[in-house]
Amino acid sequence: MMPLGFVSLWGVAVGLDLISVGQFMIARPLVAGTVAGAILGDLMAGALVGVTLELFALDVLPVGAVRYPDYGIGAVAGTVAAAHAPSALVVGIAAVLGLVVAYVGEIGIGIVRSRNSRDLRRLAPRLDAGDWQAVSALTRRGVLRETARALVVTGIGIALALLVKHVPLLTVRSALLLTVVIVGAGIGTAATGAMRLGGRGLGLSWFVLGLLAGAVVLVVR
Amino acid sequence: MRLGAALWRSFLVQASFNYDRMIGVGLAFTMRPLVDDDPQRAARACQFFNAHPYFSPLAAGALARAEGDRATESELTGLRNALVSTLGSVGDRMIWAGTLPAAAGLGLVLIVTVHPVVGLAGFLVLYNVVHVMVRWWGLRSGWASGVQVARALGATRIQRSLRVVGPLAGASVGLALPIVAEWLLRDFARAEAIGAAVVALCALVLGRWMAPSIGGLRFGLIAAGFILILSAVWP
Repeated sequence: MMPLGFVSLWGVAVGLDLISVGQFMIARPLVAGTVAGAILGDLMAGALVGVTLELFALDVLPVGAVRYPDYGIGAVAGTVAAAHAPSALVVGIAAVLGLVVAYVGEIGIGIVRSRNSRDLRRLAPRLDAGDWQAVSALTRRGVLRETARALVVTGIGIALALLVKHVPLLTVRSALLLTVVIVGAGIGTAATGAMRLGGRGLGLSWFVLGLLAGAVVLVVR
Repeated sequence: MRLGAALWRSFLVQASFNYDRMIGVGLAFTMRPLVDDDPQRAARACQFFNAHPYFSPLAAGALARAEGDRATESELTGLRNALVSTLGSVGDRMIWAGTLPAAAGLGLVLIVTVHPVVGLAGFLVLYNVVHVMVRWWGLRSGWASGVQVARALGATRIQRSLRVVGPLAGASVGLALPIVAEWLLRDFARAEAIGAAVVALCALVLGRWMAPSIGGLRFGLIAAGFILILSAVWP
Protein backbone atom coordinates (compact mmCIF):
# COMPACT_ATOMS: atom_id res chain seq x y z
CA MET A 1 0.00 0.00 0.00
CA MET A 2 2.89 2.40 0.73
CA PRO A 3 4.09 2.64 -2.88
CA LEU A 4 0.50 3.27 -4.01
CA GLY A 5 0.25 6.13 -1.50
CA PHE A 6 3.47 7.66 -2.82
CA VAL A 7 2.39 7.16 -6.43
CA SER A 8 -0.91 8.93 -5.62
CA LEU A 9 1.01 11.89 -4.20
CA TRP A 10 3.17 11.88 -7.33
CA GLY A 11 -0.01 11.89 -9.45
CA VAL A 12 -1.27 14.99 -7.62
CA ALA A 13 2.09 16.75 -8.09
CA VAL A 14 2.01 15.86 -11.80
CA GLY A 15 -1.57 17.16 -12.14
CA LEU A 16 -0.64 20.46 -10.47
CA ASP A 17 2.42 20.94 -12.70
CA LEU A 18 0.40 20.55 -15.90
CA ILE A 19 -1.00 24.11 -15.81
CA SER A 20 -1.34 25.75 -12.42
CA VAL A 21 1.89 25.34 -10.48
CA GLY A 22 5.29 25.75 -12.09
CA GLN A 23 4.97 23.96 -15.41
CA PHE A 24 8.40 22.40 -14.87
CA MET A 25 7.20 19.59 -17.15
CA ILE A 26 7.15 16.81 -14.58
CA ALA A 27 3.67 16.40 -16.11
CA ARG A 28 5.20 15.11 -19.35
CA PRO A 29 4.42 11.39 -19.61
CA LEU A 30 8.07 10.46 -20.12
CA VAL A 31 8.84 11.96 -16.68
CA ALA A 32 5.58 11.08 -14.90
CA GLY A 33 5.61 7.45 -16.07
CA THR A 34 9.30 6.82 -15.40
CA VAL A 35 9.16 8.28 -11.88
CA ALA A 36 5.95 6.32 -11.12
CA GLY A 37 7.77 3.18 -12.30
CA ALA A 38 10.69 3.96 -9.99
CA ILE A 39 8.31 4.45 -7.04
CA LEU A 40 6.63 1.11 -7.78
CA GLY A 41 9.97 -0.67 -8.24
CA ASP A 42 9.55 -1.28 -11.98
CA LEU A 43 11.39 1.50 -13.74
CA MET A 44 11.20 -0.16 -17.15
CA ALA A 45 7.38 -0.50 -17.07
CA GLY A 46 7.12 3.19 -16.22
CA ALA A 47 9.50 4.09 -19.05
CA LEU A 48 7.56 1.96 -21.56
CA VAL A 49 4.20 3.50 -20.65
CA GLY A 50 5.70 7.00 -20.37
CA VAL A 51 7.43 6.83 -23.75
CA THR A 52 4.28 5.47 -25.44
CA LEU A 53 2.10 8.27 -24.04
CA GLU A 54 4.79 10.88 -24.76
CA LEU A 55 4.27 10.12 -28.45
CA PHE A 56 0.63 11.22 -28.07
CA ALA A 57 1.61 14.27 -25.98
CA LEU A 58 3.93 15.52 -28.75
CA ASP A 59 0.81 16.42 -30.74
CA VAL A 60 -0.43 18.87 -28.09
CA LEU A 61 0.08 22.60 -28.64
CA PRO A 62 -1.23 24.24 -25.46
CA VAL A 63 -1.82 27.72 -26.88
CA GLY A 64 -4.32 30.27 -25.60
CA ALA A 65 -7.26 28.89 -23.61
CA VAL A 66 -7.16 25.46 -25.25
CA ARG A 67 -7.95 22.44 -23.04
CA TYR A 68 -5.68 19.48 -23.46
CA PRO A 69 -5.43 15.89 -22.19
CA ASP A 70 -3.69 15.26 -18.88
CA TYR A 71 -1.22 12.68 -20.18
CA GLY A 72 0.90 12.97 -17.01
CA ILE A 73 -1.67 11.46 -14.65
CA GLY A 74 -2.55 9.07 -17.50
CA ALA A 75 1.07 7.85 -17.49
CA VAL A 76 1.00 7.44 -13.70
CA ALA A 77 -2.20 5.33 -13.88
CA GLY A 78 -0.91 3.34 -16.86
CA THR A 79 2.31 2.57 -14.97
CA VAL A 80 0.34 1.27 -11.98
CA ALA A 81 -1.43 -1.11 -14.38
CA ALA A 82 1.80 -2.22 -16.10
CA ALA A 83 4.18 -2.48 -13.12
CA HIS A 84 5.38 -6.02 -12.34
CA ALA A 85 3.14 -7.50 -15.07
CA PRO A 86 4.30 -10.91 -16.33
CA SER A 87 4.28 -9.82 -19.98
CA ALA A 88 5.31 -6.68 -21.88
CA LEU A 89 2.02 -7.02 -23.79
CA VAL A 90 0.31 -5.22 -20.90
CA VAL A 91 1.78 -1.96 -22.28
CA GLY A 92 -1.07 -1.72 -24.80
CA ILE A 93 -3.90 -1.89 -22.28
CA ALA A 94 -1.91 0.28 -19.83
CA ALA A 95 -1.48 2.96 -22.51
CA VAL A 96 -5.20 2.80 -23.41
CA LEU A 97 -5.99 3.27 -19.73
CA GLY A 98 -3.59 6.23 -19.78
CA LEU A 99 -5.48 7.76 -22.71
CA VAL A 100 -8.84 7.35 -20.91
CA VAL A 101 -7.46 8.97 -17.75
CA ALA A 102 -5.89 11.76 -19.83
CA TYR A 103 -9.33 12.46 -21.29
CA VAL A 104 -10.93 12.52 -17.82
CA GLY A 105 -8.21 14.98 -16.80
CA GLU A 106 -9.04 17.17 -19.80
CA ILE A 107 -12.70 17.31 -18.74
CA GLY A 108 -11.52 18.23 -15.23
CA ILE A 109 -9.52 21.17 -16.61
CA GLY A 110 -12.71 22.58 -18.16
CA ILE A 111 -14.57 22.24 -14.86
CA VAL A 112 -11.77 23.95 -12.89
CA ARG A 113 -11.66 26.87 -15.34
CA SER A 114 -15.43 27.31 -15.23
CA ARG A 115 -15.36 27.34 -11.42
CA ASN A 116 -12.48 29.85 -11.53
CA SER A 117 -14.60 32.05 -13.83
CA ARG A 118 -17.57 31.87 -11.47
CA ASP A 119 -15.32 32.74 -8.53
CA LEU A 120 -13.84 35.66 -10.47
CA ARG A 121 -17.29 37.09 -11.30
CA ARG A 122 -18.22 36.89 -7.63
CA LEU A 123 -15.06 38.74 -6.58
CA ALA A 124 -15.02 41.15 -9.55
CA PRO A 125 -16.32 44.15 -7.50
CA ARG A 126 -13.47 43.70 -5.01
CA LEU A 127 -10.92 43.32 -7.82
CA ASP A 128 -12.19 46.43 -9.57
CA ALA A 129 -11.99 48.32 -6.28
CA GLY A 130 -8.29 47.41 -6.12
CA ASP A 131 -8.35 44.81 -3.33
CA TRP A 132 -5.02 42.93 -3.45
CA GLN A 133 -6.40 40.33 -1.01
CA ALA A 134 -8.95 39.29 -3.63
CA VAL A 135 -6.07 38.61 -6.06
CA SER A 136 -4.38 36.32 -3.52
CA ALA A 137 -7.68 34.63 -2.65
CA LEU A 138 -8.40 33.79 -6.31
CA THR A 139 -4.89 32.36 -6.76
CA ARG A 140 -5.15 30.30 -3.57
CA ARG A 141 -8.57 28.91 -4.52
CA GLY A 142 -7.37 28.14 -8.03
CA VAL A 143 -4.52 26.04 -6.62
CA LEU A 144 -6.94 24.24 -4.27
CA ARG A 145 -9.33 23.47 -7.14
CA GLU A 146 -6.50 22.14 -9.27
CA THR A 147 -5.30 20.01 -6.35
CA ALA A 148 -8.80 18.57 -6.01
CA ARG A 149 -8.92 17.86 -9.76
CA ALA A 150 -5.53 16.12 -9.67
CA LEU A 151 -6.57 14.10 -6.63
CA VAL A 152 -9.85 12.94 -8.20
CA VAL A 153 -8.29 12.10 -11.59
CA THR A 154 -5.39 10.25 -9.93
CA GLY A 155 -7.86 8.33 -7.75
CA ILE A 156 -9.97 7.32 -10.75
CA GLY A 157 -6.83 6.38 -12.68
CA ILE A 158 -5.38 4.20 -9.93
CA ALA A 159 -8.75 2.50 -9.29
CA LEU A 160 -9.07 1.65 -13.00
CA ALA A 161 -5.43 0.51 -13.07
CA LEU A 162 -5.98 -1.90 -10.18
CA LEU A 163 -9.06 -3.26 -11.96
CA VAL A 164 -7.07 -3.81 -15.17
CA LYS A 165 -4.23 -5.37 -13.19
CA HIS A 166 -6.32 -7.90 -11.28
CA VAL A 167 -9.12 -8.73 -13.73
CA PRO A 168 -7.87 -10.38 -16.94
CA LEU A 169 -9.77 -8.47 -19.60
CA LEU A 170 -7.93 -9.59 -22.74
CA THR A 171 -6.61 -12.70 -24.40
CA VAL A 172 -2.92 -12.76 -25.39
CA ARG A 173 -3.86 -12.14 -29.04
CA SER A 174 -6.04 -9.14 -28.15
CA ALA A 175 -3.34 -7.71 -25.88
CA LEU A 176 -0.81 -8.06 -28.70
CA LEU A 177 -3.13 -6.37 -31.22
CA LEU A 178 -3.89 -3.57 -28.81
CA THR A 179 -0.19 -2.92 -28.17
CA VAL A 180 0.57 -2.86 -31.90
CA VAL A 181 -2.32 -0.45 -32.58
CA ILE A 182 -1.48 1.91 -29.70
CA VAL A 183 2.23 2.08 -30.56
CA GLY A 184 1.33 2.72 -34.22
CA ALA A 185 -1.21 5.39 -33.26
CA GLY A 186 1.37 7.05 -31.00
CA ILE A 187 4.04 7.17 -33.70
CA GLY A 188 1.57 8.55 -36.24
CA THR A 189 0.37 11.15 -33.74
CA ALA A 190 3.92 12.31 -32.90
CA ALA A 191 4.75 12.57 -36.61
CA THR A 192 1.55 14.59 -37.17
CA GLY A 193 2.50 16.98 -34.36
CA ALA A 194 6.06 17.42 -35.66
CA MET A 195 4.88 18.05 -39.23
CA ARG A 196 2.28 20.56 -38.05
CA LEU A 197 4.90 22.48 -36.07
CA GLY A 198 7.42 22.33 -38.88
CA GLY A 199 5.03 23.56 -41.57
CA ARG A 200 5.93 22.98 -45.21
CA GLY A 201 9.32 24.63 -45.53
CA LEU A 202 12.53 24.49 -43.56
CA GLY A 203 10.93 22.90 -40.48
CA LEU A 204 9.69 19.91 -42.48
CA SER A 205 13.14 19.46 -44.03
CA TRP A 206 14.70 19.30 -40.57
CA PHE A 207 12.09 16.77 -39.45
CA VAL A 208 12.89 14.54 -42.46
CA LEU A 209 16.61 14.99 -41.79
CA GLY A 210 16.03 13.89 -38.20
CA LEU A 211 14.11 10.81 -39.38
CA LEU A 212 17.01 9.86 -41.64
CA ALA A 213 19.50 10.38 -38.82
CA GLY A 214 17.36 8.16 -36.57
CA ALA A 215 17.32 5.45 -39.22
CA VAL A 216 21.12 5.69 -39.52
CA VAL A 217 21.48 5.33 -35.73
CA LEU A 218 19.36 2.15 -35.87
CA VAL A 219 21.48 0.68 -38.65
CA VAL A 220 24.74 1.54 -36.87
CA ARG A 221 23.52 0.07 -33.56
CA MET B 1 14.76 40.87 -3.51
CA ARG B 2 11.45 42.13 -4.91
CA LEU B 3 12.29 40.70 -8.33
CA GLY B 4 13.00 37.31 -6.71
CA ALA B 5 9.60 37.36 -5.00
CA ALA B 6 7.92 38.27 -8.30
CA LEU B 7 9.75 35.41 -10.04
CA TRP B 8 8.47 32.89 -7.48
CA ARG B 9 4.95 34.23 -7.83
CA SER B 10 5.17 33.96 -11.62
CA PHE B 11 5.17 30.16 -11.28
CA LEU B 12 1.53 30.50 -10.15
CA VAL B 13 0.49 32.83 -12.97
CA GLN B 14 -1.99 30.30 -14.38
CA ALA B 15 -3.41 29.13 -11.03
CA SER B 16 -6.45 31.38 -11.35
CA PHE B 17 -6.84 30.89 -15.13
CA ASN B 18 -10.41 31.63 -16.17
CA TYR B 19 -12.39 32.33 -19.34
CA ASP B 20 -13.16 35.95 -18.38
CA ARG B 21 -9.77 37.55 -17.72
CA MET B 22 -7.51 34.61 -18.65
CA ILE B 23 -4.25 35.11 -16.67
CA GLY B 24 -5.05 38.73 -15.73
CA VAL B 25 -5.38 37.92 -12.02
CA GLY B 26 -2.22 35.78 -12.17
CA LEU B 27 -0.34 38.71 -13.71
CA ALA B 28 -1.48 40.94 -10.84
CA PHE B 29 -0.37 38.25 -8.37
CA THR B 30 3.10 38.29 -10.00
CA MET B 31 3.28 42.11 -10.01
CA ARG B 32 2.33 42.48 -6.34
CA PRO B 33 5.90 42.69 -4.90
CA LEU B 34 6.81 45.34 -7.51
CA VAL B 35 4.01 47.86 -6.95
CA ASP B 36 2.72 49.79 -3.95
CA ASP B 37 -0.68 49.45 -2.24
CA ASP B 38 -2.49 51.96 -4.47
CA PRO B 39 -5.94 50.41 -5.20
CA GLN B 40 -6.07 51.95 -8.67
CA ARG B 41 -2.91 50.03 -9.61
CA ALA B 42 -4.34 46.82 -8.24
CA ALA B 43 -7.55 47.34 -10.23
CA ARG B 44 -5.59 47.96 -13.44
CA ALA B 45 -3.20 45.03 -12.83
CA CYS B 46 -5.91 42.36 -12.72
CA GLN B 47 -7.78 43.25 -15.91
CA PHE B 48 -7.87 40.87 -18.92
CA PHE B 49 -4.46 39.57 -19.96
CA ASN B 50 -3.22 36.55 -21.83
CA ALA B 51 0.26 35.58 -22.98
CA HIS B 52 2.60 32.66 -22.83
CA PRO B 53 3.02 31.92 -19.10
CA TYR B 54 6.85 31.90 -19.25
CA PHE B 55 6.90 35.36 -20.88
CA SER B 56 4.29 36.82 -18.51
CA PRO B 57 7.03 37.97 -16.04
CA LEU B 58 8.25 40.29 -18.80
CA ALA B 59 4.79 41.88 -18.89
CA ALA B 60 4.64 41.98 -15.09
CA GLY B 61 8.02 43.73 -14.89
CA ALA B 62 7.25 46.20 -17.68
CA LEU B 63 3.79 47.12 -16.37
CA ALA B 64 5.05 47.48 -12.78
CA ARG B 65 7.91 49.73 -13.94
CA ALA B 66 5.50 51.78 -16.08
CA GLU B 67 3.20 52.18 -13.05
CA GLY B 68 6.18 53.34 -10.97
CA ASP B 69 7.21 55.78 -13.70
CA ARG B 70 3.71 57.31 -13.59
CA ALA B 71 2.83 56.33 -17.16
CA THR B 72 -0.53 57.63 -18.34
CA GLU B 73 -3.64 55.45 -18.39
CA SER B 74 -3.53 55.25 -22.20
CA GLU B 75 0.18 54.31 -22.19
CA LEU B 76 -0.50 51.51 -19.73
CA THR B 77 -3.48 50.22 -21.72
CA GLY B 78 -1.49 50.39 -24.96
CA LEU B 79 1.46 48.53 -23.43
CA ARG B 80 -0.81 45.85 -21.99
CA ASN B 81 -2.64 45.29 -25.29
CA ALA B 82 0.61 45.22 -27.29
CA LEU B 83 2.14 42.63 -24.99
CA VAL B 84 -0.84 40.23 -25.20
CA SER B 85 -0.36 39.24 -28.83
CA THR B 86 3.43 39.69 -28.95
CA LEU B 87 4.29 37.60 -25.90
CA GLY B 88 1.77 34.94 -26.91
CA SER B 89 3.29 34.57 -30.35
CA VAL B 90 6.96 34.66 -29.27
CA GLY B 91 6.35 32.27 -26.36
CA ASP B 92 4.35 29.76 -28.38
CA ARG B 93 7.02 29.64 -31.08
CA MET B 94 10.00 29.54 -28.73
CA ILE B 95 8.65 27.20 -26.05
CA TRP B 96 5.66 25.10 -27.14
CA ALA B 97 6.72 24.67 -30.76
CA GLY B 98 10.47 24.77 -30.13
CA THR B 99 12.14 24.07 -26.79
CA LEU B 100 9.55 21.56 -25.54
CA PRO B 101 9.51 19.18 -28.53
CA ALA B 102 13.30 19.57 -28.93
CA ALA B 103 13.96 18.60 -25.31
CA ALA B 104 11.30 15.85 -25.34
CA GLY B 105 12.79 14.31 -28.51
CA LEU B 106 16.24 14.30 -26.94
CA GLY B 107 14.83 12.87 -23.69
CA LEU B 108 13.15 10.04 -25.59
CA VAL B 109 16.40 9.20 -27.41
CA LEU B 110 18.34 9.15 -24.12
CA ILE B 111 15.72 6.99 -22.38
CA VAL B 112 15.90 4.41 -25.16
CA THR B 113 19.62 4.46 -25.95
CA VAL B 114 21.21 5.20 -22.54
CA HIS B 115 18.95 4.80 -19.47
CA PRO B 116 15.47 6.01 -18.45
CA VAL B 117 16.87 8.07 -15.56
CA VAL B 118 19.43 9.77 -17.83
CA GLY B 119 16.65 10.51 -20.34
CA LEU B 120 14.28 12.14 -17.89
CA ALA B 121 17.09 14.03 -16.13
CA GLY B 122 18.42 15.28 -19.48
CA PHE B 123 14.96 16.40 -20.54
CA LEU B 124 14.16 18.18 -17.27
CA VAL B 125 17.53 19.95 -17.02
CA LEU B 126 17.65 21.05 -20.66
CA TYR B 127 14.04 22.25 -20.68
CA ASN B 128 14.07 24.00 -17.31
CA VAL B 129 17.35 25.84 -17.91
CA VAL B 130 15.60 27.55 -20.84
CA HIS B 131 12.31 27.85 -18.91
CA VAL B 132 13.72 29.56 -15.80
CA MET B 133 16.13 31.70 -17.86
CA VAL B 134 13.23 33.00 -19.98
CA ARG B 135 11.20 33.91 -16.88
CA TRP B 136 14.13 35.62 -15.13
CA TRP B 137 15.38 37.41 -18.25
CA GLY B 138 11.82 38.56 -19.02
CA LEU B 139 11.22 39.89 -15.53
CA ARG B 140 14.52 41.78 -15.44
CA SER B 141 14.13 43.14 -18.97
CA GLY B 142 10.57 44.28 -18.33
CA TRP B 143 11.52 45.88 -15.00
CA ALA B 144 14.47 47.67 -16.61
CA SER B 145 12.57 48.87 -19.69
CA GLY B 146 9.01 49.76 -18.67
CA VAL B 147 7.07 51.10 -21.66
CA GLN B 148 10.20 50.67 -23.84
CA VAL B 149 10.08 46.87 -23.41
CA ALA B 150 9.59 46.25 -27.14
CA ARG B 151 13.37 46.76 -27.50
CA ALA B 152 14.01 43.68 -25.35
CA LEU B 153 11.79 41.54 -27.56
CA GLY B 154 13.55 42.83 -30.67
CA ALA B 155 16.95 41.85 -29.27
CA THR B 156 18.98 39.78 -31.71
CA ARG B 157 19.35 36.97 -29.18
CA ILE B 158 15.58 36.40 -29.12
CA GLN B 159 15.23 36.64 -32.89
CA ARG B 160 18.16 34.24 -33.41
CA SER B 161 16.68 31.76 -30.91
CA LEU B 162 13.35 31.85 -32.75
CA ARG B 163 15.09 30.99 -36.03
CA VAL B 164 17.07 28.09 -34.53
CA VAL B 165 14.60 26.45 -32.16
CA GLY B 166 11.92 25.37 -34.68
CA PRO B 167 14.24 23.37 -36.95
CA LEU B 168 15.92 21.93 -33.84
CA ALA B 169 12.54 20.67 -32.60
CA GLY B 170 11.73 19.07 -35.97
CA ALA B 171 15.12 17.35 -36.13
CA SER B 172 14.92 16.16 -32.53
CA VAL B 173 11.44 14.60 -32.87
CA GLY B 174 12.44 13.14 -36.26
CA LEU B 175 15.53 11.56 -34.70
CA ALA B 176 13.51 10.12 -31.82
CA LEU B 177 10.70 8.51 -33.84
CA PRO B 178 12.53 5.59 -35.55
CA ILE B 179 14.58 4.88 -32.40
CA VAL B 180 11.50 4.85 -30.15
CA ALA B 181 9.46 2.79 -32.65
CA GLU B 182 12.20 0.15 -32.85
CA TRP B 183 12.46 0.05 -29.03
CA LEU B 184 8.72 -0.33 -28.46
CA LEU B 185 8.34 -2.99 -31.17
CA ARG B 186 11.61 -4.86 -30.62
CA ASP B 187 9.92 -8.00 -29.26
CA PHE B 188 7.32 -8.15 -32.03
CA ALA B 189 7.37 -10.13 -35.29
CA ARG B 190 7.85 -8.41 -38.65
CA ALA B 191 4.12 -8.69 -39.53
CA GLU B 192 3.17 -6.94 -36.30
CA ALA B 193 5.71 -4.18 -36.88
CA ILE B 194 4.22 -3.68 -40.36
CA GLY B 195 0.76 -3.51 -38.76
CA ALA B 196 1.98 -0.76 -36.40
CA ALA B 197 3.43 1.13 -39.39
CA VAL B 198 0.06 0.94 -41.20
CA VAL B 199 -1.74 2.30 -38.10
CA ALA B 200 0.88 5.06 -37.85
CA LEU B 201 0.29 6.00 -41.47
CA CYS B 202 -3.50 6.10 -40.91
CA ALA B 203 -2.99 8.34 -37.84
CA LEU B 204 -0.72 10.63 -39.85
CA VAL B 205 -3.05 10.93 -42.86
CA LEU B 206 -6.11 11.49 -40.66
CA GLY B 207 -4.37 13.88 -38.26
CA ARG B 208 -2.49 15.90 -40.85
CA TRP B 209 -4.85 16.08 -43.82
CA MET B 210 -8.28 14.41 -43.48
CA ALA B 211 -9.49 15.17 -39.95
CA PRO B 212 -6.97 17.35 -38.06
CA SER B 213 -9.52 18.15 -35.35
CA ILE B 214 -9.74 14.51 -34.25
CA GLY B 215 -6.40 14.65 -32.36
CA GLY B 216 -4.11 11.81 -31.30
CA LEU B 217 -6.01 10.99 -28.12
CA ARG B 218 -9.33 10.42 -29.85
CA PHE B 219 -7.72 8.48 -32.70
CA GLY B 220 -5.97 6.24 -30.15
CA LEU B 221 -9.17 5.66 -28.20
CA ILE B 222 -11.21 4.91 -31.35
CA ALA B 223 -8.56 2.48 -32.64
CA ALA B 224 -8.33 0.77 -29.24
CA GLY B 225 -12.14 0.57 -29.03
CA PHE B 226 -12.22 -1.07 -32.45
CA ILE B 227 -9.71 -3.71 -31.32
CA LEU B 228 -11.59 -4.35 -28.07
CA ILE B 229 -14.90 -4.83 -29.92
CA LEU B 230 -13.17 -7.08 -32.44
CA SER B 231 -11.71 -9.13 -29.60
CA ALA B 232 -15.10 -9.50 -27.95
CA VAL B 233 -16.83 -10.55 -31.17
CA TRP B 234 -14.02 -12.77 -32.42
CA PRO B 235 -12.05 -14.01 -29.38
